[in-house]
Amino acid sequence: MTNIGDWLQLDLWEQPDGAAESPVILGSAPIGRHITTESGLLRGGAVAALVDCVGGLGAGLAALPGWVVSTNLTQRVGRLDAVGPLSLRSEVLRAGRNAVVSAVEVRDEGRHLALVADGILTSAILEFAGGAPTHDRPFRMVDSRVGADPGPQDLGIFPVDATTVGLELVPDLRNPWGILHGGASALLADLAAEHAVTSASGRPSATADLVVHYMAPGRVGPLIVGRAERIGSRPDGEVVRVRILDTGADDRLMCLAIATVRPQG
Amino acid sequence: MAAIVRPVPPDYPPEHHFLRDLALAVLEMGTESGRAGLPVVPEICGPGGGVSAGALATLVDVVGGGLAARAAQPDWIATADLTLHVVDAPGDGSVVASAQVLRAGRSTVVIGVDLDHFPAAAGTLDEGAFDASTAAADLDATRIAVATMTFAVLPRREGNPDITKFESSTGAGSGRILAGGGFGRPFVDELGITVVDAAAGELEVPIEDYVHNSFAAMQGGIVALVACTAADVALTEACGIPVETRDLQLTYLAQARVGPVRTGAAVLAANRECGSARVTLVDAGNGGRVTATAGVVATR
Repeated sequence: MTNIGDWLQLDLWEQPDGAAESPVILGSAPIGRHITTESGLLRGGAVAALVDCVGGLGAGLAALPGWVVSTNLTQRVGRLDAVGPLSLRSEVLRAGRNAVVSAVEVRDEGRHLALVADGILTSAILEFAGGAPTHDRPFRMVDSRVGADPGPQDLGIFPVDATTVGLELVPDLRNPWGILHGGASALLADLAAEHAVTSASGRPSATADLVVHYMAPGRVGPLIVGRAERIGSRPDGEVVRVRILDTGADDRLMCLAIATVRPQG
Repeated sequence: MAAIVRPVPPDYPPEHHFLRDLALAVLEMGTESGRAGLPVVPEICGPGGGVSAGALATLVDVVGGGLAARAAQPDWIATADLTLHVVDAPGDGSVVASAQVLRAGRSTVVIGVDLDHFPAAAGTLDEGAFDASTAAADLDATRIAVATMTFAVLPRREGNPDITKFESSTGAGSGRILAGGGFGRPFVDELGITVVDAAAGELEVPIEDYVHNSFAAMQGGIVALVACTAADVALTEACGIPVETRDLQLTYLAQARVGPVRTGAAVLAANRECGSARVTLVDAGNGGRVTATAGVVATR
């Protein structure tokens, strides 16, 4: 594994359509055990990681000559029992001076392109010292990961206690600016929420809907933790709030996430 | 996040305004935290008898906006998004929203909000029962929702509001600061919301003084309320049972200034327990400009 995109086995390409005012990014990713629960359900956090990758690329291209960092991501999952592969499409809803808002749809190619999830990614435009990443246009990065080993299941995230999970900030999980990739944070939030609900109920569960606010970069580590707080239950699942902290930076709050976790069985 | 161009009317909010009818009370407002409350009356409750997510979102918008404006001073702010996650919807008493600044950076302010229900026996907001020293546990308060808001920080311009006018006279005390007449009928009717096509989530809402923000566009909390209402009617049709908004993920794209605002809903999933939809709001009088998009989950 060399980065989060490799782990997701995500192919990305820009829709070669000159009629579009803003970049439209398409993507495809297989469903495997690396992004599913023990019972084979799709992880909401993995979907969020895909939304972050696809939406973030489109936002970045719309922001040129600047580039972007994710500031917040919202997504709702219609069904967790997708067959795959997943088909993704991102379009820019708004590109302003300071921020780009992208809408991402996730569909199931194995179910006649039924809508699996949709998400909104908001990105802040920044001027990076080294300049924006350079890409040929239309952007295309495909067939580079087929058959590759995606690496550890759930990115190697491990339980710390009944309401906390942890992640080691290894080089593979850092983005080009050396900070924890937003998709990894989303998956950490997913697993923290799921772990807290499963620990309390004794039943397996799966995270579906997710909101993630990215507030500070995670760059110190080596231990990044997600601490979950159960808010309450509803017919569609349990609402859980997760704080993601950089333990090497005095528990600096990196992300606040709110998840809906659906008990299974 | 639309640019702010109009001067603030000196008499905002006007005598007959939605925020006055909600009887919102600012209990405490600093630069790092703030609290505001809302009395729960039948006119702001949904068909299930509990306070509607739209009313809660309006409360969140008011307390979050007030706090973010203080945190961003001397700059000004524009609301970027609001999320609300409701786990219980009480039908009486009061709801108090406690907001905290989670991040105050150069370009964004992020606010986290906890919403607690205080039963009627705990007192009313008019009586100042919930001052800063009151322990929620002592008054049998329960957590009913959590919320977040993000604001873009903008350079201050002439015409940006003086936020101190939204505080209580002491700056920190309790009491109703936006006195109004209260609702004479359900607030959806008070807002003039017309259902054009329930299954498609098509609503039409006029933009009048009653729903204005201080820039004569539709107030952000009311935008949230309209999104919830559109999702509720669409998902009630799709689910085949009455459902009400529990989760709202609202992204503001532009201010709705002309009107009417029209909505449409695309159903993502629906069953006999709950449903999920994406709602789009457009300003029909402004060339159909998309002003907001919302992901909504509604349950029975």
